[in-house]
Amino acid sequence: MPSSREPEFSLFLPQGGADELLALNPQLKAHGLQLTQKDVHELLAFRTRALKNQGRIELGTGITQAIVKRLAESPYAVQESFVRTVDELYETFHYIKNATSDFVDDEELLDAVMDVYENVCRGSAELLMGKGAQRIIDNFKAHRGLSEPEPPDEEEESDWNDE
Amino acid sequence: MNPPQENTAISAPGARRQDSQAAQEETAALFAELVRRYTAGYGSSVKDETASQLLRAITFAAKAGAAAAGFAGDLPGAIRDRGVRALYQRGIDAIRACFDETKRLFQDADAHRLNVPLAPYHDLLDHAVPSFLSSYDIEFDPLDTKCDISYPLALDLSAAQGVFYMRHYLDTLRMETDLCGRLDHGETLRTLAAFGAQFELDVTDAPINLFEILFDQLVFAVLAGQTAPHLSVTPAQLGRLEALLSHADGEKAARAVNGAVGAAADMLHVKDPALLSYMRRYSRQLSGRIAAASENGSLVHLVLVKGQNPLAARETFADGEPMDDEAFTLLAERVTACEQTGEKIELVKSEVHSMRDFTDLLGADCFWGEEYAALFASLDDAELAVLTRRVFADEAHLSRLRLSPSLLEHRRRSPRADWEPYLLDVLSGMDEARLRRIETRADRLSLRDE
Repeated sequence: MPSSREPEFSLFLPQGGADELLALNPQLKAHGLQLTQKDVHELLAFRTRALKNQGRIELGTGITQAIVKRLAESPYAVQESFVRTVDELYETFHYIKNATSDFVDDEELLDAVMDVYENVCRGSAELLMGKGAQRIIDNFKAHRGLSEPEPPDEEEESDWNDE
Repeated sequence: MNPPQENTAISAPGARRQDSQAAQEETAALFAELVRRYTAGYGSSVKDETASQLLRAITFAAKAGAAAAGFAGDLPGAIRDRGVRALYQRGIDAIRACFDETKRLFQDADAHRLNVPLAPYHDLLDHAVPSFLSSYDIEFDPLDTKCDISYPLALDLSAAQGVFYMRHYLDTLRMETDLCGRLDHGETLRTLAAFGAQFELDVTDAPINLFEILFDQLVFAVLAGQTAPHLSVTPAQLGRLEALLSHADGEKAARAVNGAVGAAADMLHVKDPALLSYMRRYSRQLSGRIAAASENGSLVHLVLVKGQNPLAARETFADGEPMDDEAFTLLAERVTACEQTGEKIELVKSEVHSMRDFTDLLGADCFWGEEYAALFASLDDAELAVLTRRVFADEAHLSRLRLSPSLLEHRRRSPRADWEPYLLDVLSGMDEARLRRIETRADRLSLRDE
C-alpha cells in the first residue's frame, strides 16, 4: 500500500477517456454492438477500480479501447455481456502484467489474451482468468511465445515416444 | 550547488491557480514520457511502486534543477519562474555532471588507495563504489544508493541522496586519504595495531575510520609537546598530556585541540582549505570526547603510548569447565532444597567451578532476596571482579571501568537480572580501597566471551 508520503497520481493524471470510447461506436456497429454513455461510464469506473485493486497506474484508456475493438471482432462478443466481458479481459490483462513484467509489450500481451480467450477458453472469461492467465504467465517465465500451447510433460513425451 | 534532500511530490503551494495547474500538467506529461521510456515504449502501464519511483525521480531531478538555477530549497518559486520541464532537464544535467564527477573522485580514490590492512576500506573501493557506479540510474531511480558501504567517514553529516551523497562521501574520503597519506606508513600500521590491542578489536575487519584513529593520536602527540607529526607519545609525555587536559571542560579542550590542529597542519604542510576546514570541524568532535574522558578520568585510554603494550596490563580470565545439564539441574535442586543460607553458599562454593555455572545458578531461582546479598558478601576480590566485569562488560569495553556511585546507582535502577541490585549493594557498601581494587581488577580483566 502506498505510504502517505507517496504522491496521489489521480491528482494530476489526465482523466476522461469517455469520448474516445464513444468514438468507437461506428466500428462496433459493424459487428452489431454498441456502447452507451452508461456503458462507457461503467467501463471507466471499473477501470479505476481494477487498476487500484491490481496496484497499477495506466496512462490513458488505450488498453480499454484496444480490448473493446478486439472483442468486437470476436465471435464470442454479444451485446448483453459485452461491457462485462471487456471488464473481465481488462482485469485479466493487468493481472498478467503484474505477474510478468512492466516490459511486456501491450500489443503482444493483448494478442495472447485474445488468442487464449477465443481458442483455448472458447469465450469463457472465467476460464481465461484462471487457467488461461496461468498459461500466459508460465509461457512468459519459460521464455516461450505467450499463447503457445503447453509442451507435453516429460512423462507423456516418453510414453508418446515408446508407442 | 546544494543537492535535493527531501522527497515530496511536486506541487506549488501558494502559486497562482494557473501556475499550479500548468505545473501539474507538465509533471503529468513528464511522468507519461518517463513511463514510456521506462517500458521502452512497449507498455502503457506500470506498477504503483514503479510509478512512485518515477515520480520521485522527477521531483528529485526538479529539485536538483532548482538548486542549479539558484532556487535551492524553493521548488515552488523555481517552478513559477522556470516551469517543471525546464527544471527537470536542468536537474538531469546536474545529476549527470555529478555522476561524472563522482566517477572521477572514485578513480582518484582508487589511484591513491592507502596500503592499510582495513578490509571495509578496500571493499569500498573494490566492490561498493564500483557496484554503485555500474547500477546508478540517473533517469529512473536517481535517489537510490545501491551499494553497501561499511567503511565509515570520521564526519558524515550530509543528508544528500543518490549520487549527491556518493560525491560527498568520496570527496570527504579524498580529504581523509590526503591527511592519512601524509603520515609515516610504518607509524600508521603500528598505530592501527596498537589501537586494535587497546580496544580489543580486530581492526582489519572492524568498521573503523582510519582518519579518526590517526588524527586523534596526531593531536595528542602535538599536545604532548612533539614537534614532528608522530602518532604516539612517550610515558613521560602522557603525564604532561594528562596534566594539561586534566579537568578540561569543553572550552579548555577545544582551545587546546584547536592549537594542536593548527600546528599539525603546519607540520604536514596541509594547504587545502577544504581539508583544513574538515580538520577543524572534526576537531570539535574530538574536543567533546576529550572533555568527557577528562571528566571521568579515562583520558589515558584514548592515548596510545609508545612502547607500551596495552594488553600487557590485561589479565585473561579463563573460565572453568561448566557442568553438563543434568549435573547442573541436580545441583540447582540441591541448593534450592537447603534451608539455611550458609548451607547454600557452602554448597555453591564447593560444587561450582565455572563463572558460567555460577551466573546460571544466580538466574535459576535457587536464591531469594537477602540470600543473594549473603552470597556476594562471601566472595573474594577476584570473584567479585569477574562478576563485576561481566555486569559492566559494555562499559568496560568502551572505556576505563570506573565504579562511580552514579554508575552503580544507574544500574541499580535498571538491572538486567534480579540478582544485580544485591551485587551493587555489596559493592556500594564496601570500603573505598577495596572497591578500587576490584574496579582495577575488573577493568584489566579480559573475559573470553565478551
